[in-house]
Amino acid sequence: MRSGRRQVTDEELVRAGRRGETEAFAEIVLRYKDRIYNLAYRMFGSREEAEDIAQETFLHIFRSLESFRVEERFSPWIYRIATNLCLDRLRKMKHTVASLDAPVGPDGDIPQQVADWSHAPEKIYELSEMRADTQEAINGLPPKYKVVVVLRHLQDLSYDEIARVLGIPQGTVKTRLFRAREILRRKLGKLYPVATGVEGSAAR
Amino acid sequence: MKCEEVYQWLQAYLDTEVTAEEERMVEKHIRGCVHCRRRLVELSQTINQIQKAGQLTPRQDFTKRLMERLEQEKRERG
Repeated sequence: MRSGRRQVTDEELVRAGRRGETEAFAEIVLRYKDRIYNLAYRMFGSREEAEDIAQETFLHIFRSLESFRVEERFSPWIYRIATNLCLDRLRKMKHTVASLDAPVGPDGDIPQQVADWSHAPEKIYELSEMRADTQEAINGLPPKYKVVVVLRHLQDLSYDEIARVLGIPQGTVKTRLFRAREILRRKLGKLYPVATGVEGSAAR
Repeated sequence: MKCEEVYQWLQAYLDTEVTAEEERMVEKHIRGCVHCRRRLVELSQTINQIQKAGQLTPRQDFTKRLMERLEQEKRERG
């Protein structure tokens, strides 16, 4: 699929995929699988859910190749599909564990999502302690905050790109991102205080 | 300029999503304000920590399994 001079664009691959060229679709999968997998992993904190969501995302893409508007860019489209699948599933999970969703944290503003962790306890041992604490803190965010943090910091999207993926105004992206980071700062700041004379110690 | 007003610019500043003028405004404020300077350090540490969460890779047979499911769908559709 790679020409010597320039890389084939995603949009060109989509067009080839529409014509039934399986290799073109396989190339799209190759380009995006890690990104989509990591996006889903950060949304759930579970490898199992991440695999499943990533598979579903590509199946969805494949089924709707026809409806992709050629003048649109491909990456916001695939991110939109993946984030919608994640948010839908999180909503469903929330219904099933509503009674365990008691808010935690000093201000009671850090909702706990017990289901996220019970699905894959093994991951705690896969990551270093700090990474695990960070993932736990991200897990604890409400889904609409979590998704902006993941898109901004783990997928490196700009405010404008995030707004387009989620179909919300840029101002809303900013509000949610700032609020989310404030929650994370308070939570992680307690566990890992900054070295420059911040009072309090790691309480764990 | 009050700290609370600066705060949102401080956040956008860390994302390099500010104009040159806003950048100057933030820098001027933090030079004179210990409180906001500390917030900036803490926030940037939080962001670093999020970004260090690391990248994982899906199972090795990810693409193979997916392509098999697609082939199956194609066959079912006829």
